[in-house]
Amino acid sequence: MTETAKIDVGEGAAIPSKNDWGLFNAWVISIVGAVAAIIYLLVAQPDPYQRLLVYLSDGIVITFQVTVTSICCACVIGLITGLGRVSKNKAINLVASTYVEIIRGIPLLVQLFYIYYALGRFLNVHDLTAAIIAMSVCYGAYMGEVFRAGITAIDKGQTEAARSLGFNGKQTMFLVVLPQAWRTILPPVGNEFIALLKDTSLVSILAVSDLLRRGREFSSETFLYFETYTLVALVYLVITLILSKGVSIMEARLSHYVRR
Amino acid sequence: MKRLFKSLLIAAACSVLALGVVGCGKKEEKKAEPAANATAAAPAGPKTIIFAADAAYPPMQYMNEQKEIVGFEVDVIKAAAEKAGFKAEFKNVAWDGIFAGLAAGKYDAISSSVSITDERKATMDFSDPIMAIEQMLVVGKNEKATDLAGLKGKTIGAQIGTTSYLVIKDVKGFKAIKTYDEVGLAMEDLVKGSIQAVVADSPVAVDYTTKKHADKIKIAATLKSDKVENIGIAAKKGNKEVIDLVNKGLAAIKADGTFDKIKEKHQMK
Amino acid sequence: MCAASQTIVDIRHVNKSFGALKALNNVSLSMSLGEKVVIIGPSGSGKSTLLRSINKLETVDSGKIIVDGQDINDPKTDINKLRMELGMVFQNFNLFPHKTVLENLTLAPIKLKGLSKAEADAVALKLLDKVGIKDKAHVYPSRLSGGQQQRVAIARALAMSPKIMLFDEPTSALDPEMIGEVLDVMVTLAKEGMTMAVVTHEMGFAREVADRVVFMDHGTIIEEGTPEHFFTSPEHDRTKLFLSQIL
Repeated sequence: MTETAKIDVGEGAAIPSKNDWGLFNAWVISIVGAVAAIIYLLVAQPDPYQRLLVYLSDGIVITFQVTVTSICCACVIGLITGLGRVSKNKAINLVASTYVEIIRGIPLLVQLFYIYYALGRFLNVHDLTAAIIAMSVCYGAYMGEVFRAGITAIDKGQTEAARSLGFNGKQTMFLVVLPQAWRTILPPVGNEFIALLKDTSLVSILAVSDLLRRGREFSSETFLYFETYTLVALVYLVITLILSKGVSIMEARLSHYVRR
Repeated sequence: MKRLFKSLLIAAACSVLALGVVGCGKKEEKKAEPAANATAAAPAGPKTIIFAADAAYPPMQYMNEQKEIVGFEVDVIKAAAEKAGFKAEFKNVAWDGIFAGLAAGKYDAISSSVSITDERKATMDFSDPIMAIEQMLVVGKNEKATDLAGLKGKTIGAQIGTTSYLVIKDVKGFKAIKTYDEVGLAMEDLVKGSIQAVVADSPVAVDYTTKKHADKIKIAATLKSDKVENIGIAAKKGNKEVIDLVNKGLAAIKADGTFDKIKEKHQMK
Repeated sequence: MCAASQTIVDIRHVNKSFGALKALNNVSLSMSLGEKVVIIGPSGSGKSTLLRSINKLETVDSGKIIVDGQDINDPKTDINKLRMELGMVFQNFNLFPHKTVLENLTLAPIKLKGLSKAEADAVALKLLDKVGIKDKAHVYPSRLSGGQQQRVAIARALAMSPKIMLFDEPTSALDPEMIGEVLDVMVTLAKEGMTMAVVTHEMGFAREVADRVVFMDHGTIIEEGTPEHFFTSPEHDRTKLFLSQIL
């Protein structure tokens, strides 16, 4: 009974799985369309577009850097926070809950300003570092909630079975609960990854030379607003689509033990 | 469940209504504007010109604590308006995108210390010069460098899309060149040591190094150029009416000494 | 009963409440090594709570529980170590769905007893053979029927070579046609001399293997005795009523 119920939790998730032909097609259409559009623009109007792409290139690298590093850090922070939120230790639980409440209550943009400009007076952090810290701290809180939900969604019987075999609390968490929780956690975490990638555009306010800022620099000089933002949007779209595909592949890998 | 649904429905209805009211209000405003413009030629009243200003650019244009846009250039335009018989209204617009807004017709003109360059002249029209400015190199109090070459290997910043940025854009040898949305943010980064130099328009550089951060930053040099850099009012290409009115006002206040008085008031040389 | 044999579980005057509900009310029960005790009673009678308190899945509010000479509520007792001696079988099997059948059996012996994978595999395969599903060793639990899953669960508990096996309604979640295969395994186990405490509604099983049957209602033990005594001449009215409903 509980066995089937548990499987349903994962199956109902929103990220495309390999059986989901509708979304699979939507993904193919989007990626093919976006890449084709970029190639068309580069070939049909090489003048602004090739120059533009060269100008944007290091911004793309920065956006990628911020995204990947922040995702890694946010996952670690999220895992610790999630474990803290389900901890029986009242002090740890309180610390984790307070962190989540505070961070969730402050817009990311304000957090970015705060870490870089407000705290910058006391500790001088590099702009890229500040951006990554702000993104990680913010998304760590959101992911903490996802982890908490994933952990609590695992049937209590699993914990009882592990404990009655003689596993301690930590072993139970890492050998039995978390390996199963990944499956339920991954789809919402994948959504967080994509949201994080898109939110990295906010770091351009710290004068970090990411994709968006490079686009803004180019357009404010050349006044080619349409061309610039068309290409910037297409590049973001391609990166996001690649990331979402990566998440769904990972999800398919993790669900190998479920009867299909 | 049902009650929740009901209250959600009510909330949704309320927000739609609220939006509707705001939306209508906006529409009426917008309707009123062109009407005023159309009748400007008639003796009904003076023409209103809406000026966009990036009000984060002291002492030229900035917000005071009463949330009004004030500053040297604002006073100049207001005085010119009086003489030329038009009404000047100011609108705070972020610098990055201020030209796009003009092209899209969101306002009539830009009064935001806009340097008159050939590139800009290609896409918009300019008034007669208000005054000449220079580009200045601002550094930390203890910095020894007195020119751009002396800052090799260091990080330098400027406001995005400005002539200040153009000065450093193609200079090789910096560790990094950073662009900021507001010149104040660049100065902030300079004060806390994240970057080692900022290039800015002379009035702004003087203002920051003598007022806000006088104890922390200084002007290292004036960056010489073979061309005089003038600032002026920008209007959409072909908008002769606005340019003519502004020029008329500018000429009048320069002739009768009002311009110099405003300069004095703002302690500009 | 078997005064001469060694007492392995000794429950003395335990009480346990869930909020206003009194789940255990001054319950005392002891078990000897090799003894098979079947606990019966209507649902909500506290029988599962009693069983689960033996390996501290439920912590009692007061009273003492001594297992293999150790007070399980003494802070000095290593409960994790003690639990290795107590095999537990649940109503809902609770197999680890992310592990194959074989891995379900070997996880604890490898991690907790330090067995090598080869050693653990050998033990596990022997146990799977015993419960009759050796051929399913490398599939995931979701591919097994309920009866098969419960047999794996029994084998998983046995893989730690426990001294006592605790069964918490092991057949209640099964389709009727699968109950037999699980009970067969339990009967075999009983015949081998395993100490067993079983909460169940299977009266046939109780009659066949129990040394002692305990009837509980409203958190107290109403009556206990041999199966013959129990099923032929119960003393209390409540026991009679319950048996008349269930048989």
